[in-house]
Amino acid sequence: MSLTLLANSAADKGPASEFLYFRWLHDLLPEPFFHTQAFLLFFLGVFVLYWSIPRKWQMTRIWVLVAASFNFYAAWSAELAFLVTTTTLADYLFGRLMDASRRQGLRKTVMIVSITMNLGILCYFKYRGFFLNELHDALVRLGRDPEYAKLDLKALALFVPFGISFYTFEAISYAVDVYRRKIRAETSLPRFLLFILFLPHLVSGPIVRAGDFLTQTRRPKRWNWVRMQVGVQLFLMGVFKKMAIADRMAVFSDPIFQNPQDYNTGAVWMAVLAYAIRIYCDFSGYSDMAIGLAHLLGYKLTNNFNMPYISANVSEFWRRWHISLSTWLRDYLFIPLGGSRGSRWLNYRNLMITMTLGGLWHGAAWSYVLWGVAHGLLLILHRQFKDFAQARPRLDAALQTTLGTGFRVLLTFFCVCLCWVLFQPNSPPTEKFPLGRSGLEKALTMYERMFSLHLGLALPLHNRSLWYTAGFVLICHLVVSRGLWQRAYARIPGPVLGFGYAVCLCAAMVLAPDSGSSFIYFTF
Amino acid sequence: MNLTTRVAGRLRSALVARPGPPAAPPVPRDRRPKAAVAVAVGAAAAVVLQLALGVATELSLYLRDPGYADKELRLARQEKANPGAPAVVMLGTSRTGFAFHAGRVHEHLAPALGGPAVAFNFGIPASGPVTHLVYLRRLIADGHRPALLLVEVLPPTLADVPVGPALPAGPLEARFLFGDRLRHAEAEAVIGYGFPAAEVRKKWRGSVFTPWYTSRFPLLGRLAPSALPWHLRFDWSRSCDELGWSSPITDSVTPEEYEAALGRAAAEYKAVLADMHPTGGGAKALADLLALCREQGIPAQLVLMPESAGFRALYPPATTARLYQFLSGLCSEHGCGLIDARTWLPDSAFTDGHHMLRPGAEAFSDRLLREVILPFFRPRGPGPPPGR
Repeated sequence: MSLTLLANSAADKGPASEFLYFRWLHDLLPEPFFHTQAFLLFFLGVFVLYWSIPRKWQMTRIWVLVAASFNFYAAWSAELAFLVTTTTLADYLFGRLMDASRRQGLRKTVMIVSITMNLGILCYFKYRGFFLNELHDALVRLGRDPEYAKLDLKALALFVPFGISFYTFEAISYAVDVYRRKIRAETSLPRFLLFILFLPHLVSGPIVRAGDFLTQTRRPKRWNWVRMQVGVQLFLMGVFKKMAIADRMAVFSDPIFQNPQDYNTGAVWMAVLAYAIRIYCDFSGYSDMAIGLAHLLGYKLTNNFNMPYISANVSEFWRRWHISLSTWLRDYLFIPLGGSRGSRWLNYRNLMITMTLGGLWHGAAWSYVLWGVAHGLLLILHRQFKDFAQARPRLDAALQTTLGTGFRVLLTFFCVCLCWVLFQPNSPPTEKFPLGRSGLEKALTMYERMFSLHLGLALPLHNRSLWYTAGFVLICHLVVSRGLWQRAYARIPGPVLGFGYAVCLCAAMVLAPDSGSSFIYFTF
Repeated sequence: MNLTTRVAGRLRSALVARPGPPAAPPVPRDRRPKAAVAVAVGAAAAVVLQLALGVATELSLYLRDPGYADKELRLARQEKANPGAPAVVMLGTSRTGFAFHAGRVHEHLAPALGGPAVAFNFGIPASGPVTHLVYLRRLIADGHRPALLLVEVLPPTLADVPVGPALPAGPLEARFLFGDRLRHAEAEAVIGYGFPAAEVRKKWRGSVFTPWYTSRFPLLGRLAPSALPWHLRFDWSRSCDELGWSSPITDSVTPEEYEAALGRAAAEYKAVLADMHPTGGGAKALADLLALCREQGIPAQLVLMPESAGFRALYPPATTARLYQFLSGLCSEHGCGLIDARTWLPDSAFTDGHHMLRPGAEAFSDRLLREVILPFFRPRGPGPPPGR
């Protein structure tokens, strides 16, 4: 299969398989990205096959989706596809076991075994290198011989099953929900396999809940033009966000995030703005594509983003950003820790634990942990300020005015942007930095250049397209948040809407930069 | 119950739906036609928009090859402003683009001929004989017929070199001239000179069937050039003057800058020149270009451009001997002249040993006018100067 049509760059290739079939599959689907020519052809085949199966043969359709999802994963790495399938089978059995038993102790033990297995695999693949290397450094600092060499994190990263953080959380939520008797354990193996392996959400979410998804697998799917239209529309929106905005913003932000010490103060600030736009459009674009593809197959996935940058405070930001993760953390971590019950300090402790672990979930590096800590602190600060303002009615009223709300939105965006500086992975060794650079080190360099005047290189590209893009994103936010789009949408004639889709596709193609980049959340 | 019935039962239960929750509530009927129309029109419009731009780029070079189109437009304007005037066109690479100061040549040529004259610089960066042949065919098809065609010879482009990983050797310019800059017939023609067939055809297909993606840089270069980094700009010929000359950014370079630039040039060409045999697709294309000139009655002269001593040192003696042997054979076969200008200028005339600074361009153009262009026109006697 030829190189990608719509995106040039590739994720790092997964481990090559010895089997001819899987090597052929890898050639067929070299990248697990939705906006590539290879994937679109693959999906077209699945789509045609799926809808050509009679409606009453619902289980056959489910098997087709399971097989397609497995092959999609195996194209990247057959071994890891088998691993994911095996753990899914184990989760299925654990669920059945919990459901079959009336002994609460046994049910609890099974749930713990299920969670331990899932978290163990996650830690082994994703965090082993990080923790062992940190231990190595700590022992060396203490003057002890670690008796093992530091691990090559870049090499280890090749063997991290993609989407592991996402499906691990799905499996854990399933085990907990069955244990809590919130849902019954799924008796149908193919349905359960589909719940975990469903290809639209397999790579980077949204993190689906068993209660939502498994119910949908039981409904007979019928062809529905409205659903198809929604699917196409969301997919095109996602493609536009990814290719025309996120990848374009990467041209501004990536060189500066890689080598902040070379750039002047203004360029670093603008790179942070570009990064904020990029990371939003990259991940929400991916989510839109995933939700759109699921609609095309008759499934509805949970919405993952709701215009996060118009949030008036950090709490609201987290209700709008990566919703499937933030609600998961709330339901399965924050509330079990005690949530907002108890004293204020307990509440803050729970917040900090939740946000710190949420940061660690994003990546095995101190920069991500600190990003989580920073957001935890911002949430605490917001709660403190909220109490302070509520005790002063005039201040509270001033903050609720249009001007006050605008100020709060700007301040929230500013704080979120400052936190994004921390949100970067470690860099592999280069000629300039033979030992590589940690994300934290780069972030500190960026802060240093942002808050003191420095000369240096300017932005890699004329800043006009950055401002146009930022303005476009802002206008889109305003149009949707004020309900203008929803009102206009109902009145737009079908042919005009259809032509708009075609124009959106062409615009995404024209605005795609030289080399597309991998999805940021693909690495999580 | 026998085995077959049991297996059939199992299979049926595994493949066919079991009772489940009722189907989702039906969507209101009035929304369905609109949705179906939107999807159908969207799919059709996407195909039509792609093909429309694809056909447009096949018919017009404005988007397909802005470098050629912009210069051709300027040449046409010059010829229109001087109807019937003899035109001296120099076809070459970026060396020519910076070196042939057509305005200066025109300034002296017109009085010398006693009437209007046109001098034009058709230097195209990252080109070679295959590109020049394609462009000459286009120029002839567009109605241009120079009274004198000067053709730059960039020696490294005469040999076949590795074009890319897992690709057979081919002309050096195959690294830069891709199928999306060529029309269908041209794409097939360059394959005959050793361009990688599959790559060229794939790029050409992309430019016709998904032009909004494949031709996005030329398109953006036309609509919003500042949105593109410099190395992706295809509209560079917009910055040249009306006679096609690209004035160098600076008038002088420091010795350190010169050495660094020469080092970069050496890194680019040293390996090719070390054992260069002028037998590649580029050499064949140069011969075909001269044959075309002869067939069309266009007088042509080959030009070996000035190079600094440091750059000339990159040629081993054997390479130099082979180069001169090839060019003299070519000239005698096709009845054209060879202007060897390699030693015309001092090292201070160059930015990097082979691209000229403004004083170098002026000195080169003056000498070319004095020793080549004016003598070409003068011996023709009292009759009217050769025109179109």
